[in-house]
Amino acid sequence: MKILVCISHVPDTTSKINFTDGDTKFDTNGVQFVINPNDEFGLTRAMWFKEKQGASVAVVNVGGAETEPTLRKALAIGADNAIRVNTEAIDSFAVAKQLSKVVNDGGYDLVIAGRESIDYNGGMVPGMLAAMLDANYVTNCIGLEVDGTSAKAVREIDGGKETVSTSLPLVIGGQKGLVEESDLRIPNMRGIMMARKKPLTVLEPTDANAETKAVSFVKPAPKGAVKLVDADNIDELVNLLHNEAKVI
Amino acid sequence: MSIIVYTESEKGKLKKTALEVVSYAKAIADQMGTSVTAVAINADNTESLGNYGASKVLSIKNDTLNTFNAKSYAAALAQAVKQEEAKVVVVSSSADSKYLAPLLAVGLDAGYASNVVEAPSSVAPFTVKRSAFTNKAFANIEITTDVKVVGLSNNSFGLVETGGSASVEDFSSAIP
Repeated sequence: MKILVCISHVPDTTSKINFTDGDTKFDTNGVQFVINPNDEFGLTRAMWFKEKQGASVAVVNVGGAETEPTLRKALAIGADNAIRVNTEAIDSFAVAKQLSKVVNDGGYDLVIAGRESIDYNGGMVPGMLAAMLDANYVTNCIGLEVDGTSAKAVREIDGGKETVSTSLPLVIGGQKGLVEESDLRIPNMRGIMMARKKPLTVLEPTDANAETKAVSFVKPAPKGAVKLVDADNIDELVNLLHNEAKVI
Repeated sequence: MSIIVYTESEKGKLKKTALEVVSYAKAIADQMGTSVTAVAINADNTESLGNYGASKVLSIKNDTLNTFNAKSYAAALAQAVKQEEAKVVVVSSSADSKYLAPLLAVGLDAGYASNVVEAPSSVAPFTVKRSAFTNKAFANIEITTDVKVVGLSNNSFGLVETGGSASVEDFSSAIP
């Protein structure tokens, strides 16, 4: 089984989010980048398939040279080889288009992506990729077993979970639960040294137009003062929760 | 050229998110000077969507759609969009809607913006505000395609009753 794990290069969850160029671009100054957490769950599951079922595991990123340390980390965790499509990730459609070419050219049976990245939170790439490939697709995936060309996936749904029988070729949108958090791997020194020698192929992009563009970014307004509602004034509380907070 | 909105139901009962996305679609329709057509799959009492701004409901009754299947649901919606020649499709941010929306967007050659939190700031160009960076920021996104898919973040717009009424039409779609 040939597995491709899509790796997004995202700011660490503790990063301060700022923008530059008139609030049109994310300010990367001082930001530590990591493997997207949802992708890391997928990568760890892929390593399980490698170790238990003899799968080969490649990792891929669509981005500039600055994303290579993140790909090297994935190699240090145990992926066999890495691919970087040398273009800016301008929107989800364009990224999925680049990935679809990688998948078609590489003949991968299973593609594991995070259900969404923690930077732009689009949650679109795995679904768009599956549609472009006409492959089976399961997102919000919290469990995956593969036996030959058959697969059984568990996905999180509103208020529960659902088990789906499907088959390869398959695209997964993975998340926490695909493996336990305690199973995530920290690269050891041997892995880091070996990663330096593993192949990292840089591919030139295919033609792919963006369908959306970020015009500007804005940070949320600072939180206002706390509104205190008298314990006897239930009507006011309900009114605020319904009309202002819009939570009921 | 109405706005198409996918209204989710569970065991035949429309979900609250269905009412919210119809309210949101009505706001877009008002901006664009058009109307709202809701698509409901195996749902009952769909005429009630008129109270939230839908003027028409395409009601799909099909036993093969009793269980959610993203590909089949996306295909059914795509057929409704094409029949109505809709330029904007609104879905919620439920697990199922987020599952089908990317499939629908690719099928329609449509740009898709998810986690949208407000009515469009402009409809030409079509620009929406969506949450990003795990709610640490918002992005104003322009969708540049002819057909657009908008995923509304749950509880971000609220329910707006219009007191209107909707006609309900049976809609049969070819399910892959």
